[in-house]
Amino acid sequence: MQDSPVIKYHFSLGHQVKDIEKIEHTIKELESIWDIDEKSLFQLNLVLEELISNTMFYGFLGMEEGSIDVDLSFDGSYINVIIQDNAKAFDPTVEAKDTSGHSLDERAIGGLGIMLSQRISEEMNYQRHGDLNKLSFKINTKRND
Amino acid sequence: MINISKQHTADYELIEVRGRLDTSNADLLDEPVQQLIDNGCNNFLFDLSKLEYISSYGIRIFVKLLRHKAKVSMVVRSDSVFSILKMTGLEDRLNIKRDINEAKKIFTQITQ
Repeated sequence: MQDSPVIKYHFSLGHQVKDIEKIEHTIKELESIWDIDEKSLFQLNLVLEELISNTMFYGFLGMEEGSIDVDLSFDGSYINVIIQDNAKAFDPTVEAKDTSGHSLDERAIGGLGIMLSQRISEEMNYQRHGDLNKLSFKINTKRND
Repeated sequence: MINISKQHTADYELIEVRGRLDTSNADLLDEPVQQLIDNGCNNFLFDLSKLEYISSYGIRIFVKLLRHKAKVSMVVRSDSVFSILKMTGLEDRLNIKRDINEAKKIFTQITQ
């Protein structure tokens, strides 16, 4: 059996919240070039929006410049995602495990986007390289839930 | 693109949301919902049968209503939207139905 060819896609965003619209445009473009189901693209859209909006609202707070680079690849089963930005250090894999201070309801609201991202994605990994956050994860397009 | 319409009925506030409910436009739903909460409205039926996409910024509005002890019911047709709402673990409290008549029953049962 032959492996499916890996199809790569790259896009960049600035630090302003209005740049989030670029995610929706990217998803529409992927719909036309990747042979992928609607639900997987919906999930990719959601995880990108949650993580990138979090960076824009909090990571870039007080910063006059900033950039986010997103690398996507699809091998027929998994969408592999790498997000790199020069915002303040933020590890969403730790954020999701935070149990301090807040009530359950407060945590559910504040961390809802991160929680959904964690539930949809697999093998989420965070690294800090110098001034850069690097987050990688996978979305399994064959998963049924 | 989002389209929101609302209608007052004897039993509930009917709010229809079409299109995409995300970071860029969640305020357009949050503001009228907050006004209704401030006016003492307690029963909310959301017709999301033509909602194509929702992110946490939209879901937070429903969570806020639950925190205000409001009774919420909703009609959802999109499998993807349904799947995301289910992931929140609030499926039962949000009374998610596939059919609007089923969603309406939640309120008629209360008032009877």
